[in-house]
Amino acid sequence: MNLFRPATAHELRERFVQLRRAGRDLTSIPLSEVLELLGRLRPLWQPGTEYHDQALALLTSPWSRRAVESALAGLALGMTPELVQAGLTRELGRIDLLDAWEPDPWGVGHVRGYPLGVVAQILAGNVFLGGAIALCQSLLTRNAVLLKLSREDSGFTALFAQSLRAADVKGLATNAVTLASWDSREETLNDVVRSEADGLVVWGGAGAVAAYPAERCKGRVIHYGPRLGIGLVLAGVDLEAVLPGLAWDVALWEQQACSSPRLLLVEAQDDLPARLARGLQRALVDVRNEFVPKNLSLDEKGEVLSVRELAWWSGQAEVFAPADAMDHTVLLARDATGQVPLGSRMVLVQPVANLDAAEAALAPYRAGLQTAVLAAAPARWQGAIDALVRAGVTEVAAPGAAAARFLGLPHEGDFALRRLIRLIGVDLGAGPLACPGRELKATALALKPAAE
Amino acid sequence: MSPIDRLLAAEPFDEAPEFEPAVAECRDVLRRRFPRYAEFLDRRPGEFPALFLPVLKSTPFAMPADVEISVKLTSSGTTGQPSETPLDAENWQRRVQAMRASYQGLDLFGISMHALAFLMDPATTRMAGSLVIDAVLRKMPNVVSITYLAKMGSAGPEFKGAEALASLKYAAAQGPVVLIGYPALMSAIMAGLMQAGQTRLPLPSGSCILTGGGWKSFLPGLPLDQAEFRTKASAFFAVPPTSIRDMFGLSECPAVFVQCREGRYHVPAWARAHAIDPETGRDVPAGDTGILQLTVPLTTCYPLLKILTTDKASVEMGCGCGLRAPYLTPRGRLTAARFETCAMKIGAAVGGQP
Repeated sequence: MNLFRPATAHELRERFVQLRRAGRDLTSIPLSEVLELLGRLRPLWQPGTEYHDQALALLTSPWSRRAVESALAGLALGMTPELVQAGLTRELGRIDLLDAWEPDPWGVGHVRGYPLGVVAQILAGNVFLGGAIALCQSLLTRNAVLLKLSREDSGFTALFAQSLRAADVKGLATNAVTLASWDSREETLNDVVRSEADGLVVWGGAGAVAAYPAERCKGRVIHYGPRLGIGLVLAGVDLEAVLPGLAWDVALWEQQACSSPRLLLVEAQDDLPARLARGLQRALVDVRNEFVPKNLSLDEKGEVLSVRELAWWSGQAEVFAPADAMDHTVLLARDATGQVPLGSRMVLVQPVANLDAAEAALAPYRAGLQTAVLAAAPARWQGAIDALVRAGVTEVAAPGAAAARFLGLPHEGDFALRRLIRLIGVDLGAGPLACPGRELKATALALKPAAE
Repeated sequence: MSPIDRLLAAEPFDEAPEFEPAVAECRDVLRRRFPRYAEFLDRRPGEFPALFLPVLKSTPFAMPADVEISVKLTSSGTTGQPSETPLDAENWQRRVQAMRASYQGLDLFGISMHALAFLMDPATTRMAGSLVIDAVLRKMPNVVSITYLAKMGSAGPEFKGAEALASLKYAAAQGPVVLIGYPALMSAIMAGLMQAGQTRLPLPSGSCILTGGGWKSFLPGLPLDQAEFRTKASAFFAVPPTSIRDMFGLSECPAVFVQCREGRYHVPAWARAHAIDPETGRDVPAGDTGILQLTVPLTTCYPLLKILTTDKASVEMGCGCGLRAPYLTPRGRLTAARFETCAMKIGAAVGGQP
């Protein structure tokens, strides 16, 4: 699929016109055909296929091979028709929400989902699956989509779009998808997106989010980011059992995913914070075998060095790290620092007295919270989740599963697919406020799903 | 004469046997004066660790009672919070002497000349570049006069192109001049005249240009390429390219690295420069880029003996100019925020790194 590089606002506006037209065609495609298309796409992403090999070649420099293979396996699994149907049912409430009107028991009120129209996805470059997921979400919600690639895009989004085109033998979706790229500072182009898109999904840093504020955009605006991944470790947990999972979550996406934990709040009982810091350091050594650390650049090494040195000099944290390597660093804070290091498998362990203190410790980060990894004895999960939700967390994961799912669970407080549709009601009218004596049975029958 | 003073009296660009004794002397004094630094030195037995410069910004050392500060130098702060270097009179004099010796070792200021300083007037700033260069110029017998063309005002740097140009023309009418300071300001003068249709302003024979700092971020939106500047300035001012030299230094380091006629920044005898891989603490291969580590045993009033900077550089030997001293090549600054991704940006949003 060719990358669209608009030179002028007019060109971009024209593309929106084309996408809107293609989106109308997409709306009339039944779910069964969308599922069929995904079913044809899935085999193209099995290990050993051309696309799989190309993706490995593209991605195994910034990421470990194991992480890429796992992510591709997850992506292919997510296209399994049964899983898609289960996910759709869960996210939309009914699998045919976009395909048929659902009447109430009296045949008076009818509900159906409609696509937003043309959705612009402003992608981030942190995790390579973002564009592929956005594409699949658009298909499932029958929205035409303009994907604006990040300048750090790995090339995977284009590869995935190419595979979609290969699988789209009936030409259902190809015209409804545009991969685009332009300098984010080009305000005339951004302005077209703000004024044309019926939905805007913005992934990434504060700059991207600030460029598309809801009040300046015509369509529905959904912001995802920036986020701080956290963890909560409570007394009574089987520490040795959870450490490998915590290290997995830290290492899997090299802390570039929203869900990757960088701050661990640990209940200060029985020396748990220090035991955790020591244990996590060991576990991060072990996890090197699964996720080989990438070679750090000089800039990254400088950053790690400054974090370690400043911790020592300020006395704010004890450093647990290999002396001869910079691929991971665990900092055990002596008090609440309010500062969290960036990336390179650096984790700040902050002791907290109890759940109330954990909630208070998260207050400065509230706007950036999303996923919390929870390591606790089963009996303490509900109380811990309640505290995390009060603090602003929207997703809770068991250790080792921080970034495991992307369909069928809510994302940031809502089902992602539901945000990409509008629920439309048709009211034929009943009750004391409706004008009496009308005959609407024929209309109700016409709206009834064909299968009934 | 102490080992440090003997080192300062050495040939500027030859191997100096006084270096190690000077390091030992400097370390002993610093150990005594700064217990926390002594603790740092003892942190890993058998090693002589370098102090990473960001540490100085966040956790400055308390000054000992026996040090009477006479000047506090600041960095330009173009890459963040300015750092502050306190010096007593003795250490200040050593710094001035070291820079003067570097100039002399490279045969600069060999004839009488007027200095036009494209720097903040030292009466208006504590920036190291202004203060040290001013003190050195005043000690150079061939510098007849010094005129400052910029100053630090209440709202920031002030530079008036028209006034600077008038000063430049006046000085040039008297004889050879040295233009010294920020290349961005010199570029501004050239650009202003070129816009007015004047393509050249030949300076008297023997004039030279000494630039320092500000290649990347002195003026917003005006990045400068050093080679391009040299070509342009040489043609515009009619100064041979070999008489256009750049100086590399930092406020925390008493040694200044001045380009030779081949354009290389030689390391003077009172300094050791290494390009380090911070992961191993070892030198990267000659010519490869590492983090610049400097050992300069000239400062006994603040722990600046061995510092790991935030500059990237390579270090090599064998310059065509004939000097035996190694030379360094600056390769830019370390940058902290690597990717503007959602998980990275939060660092800045919540207060940055510790």
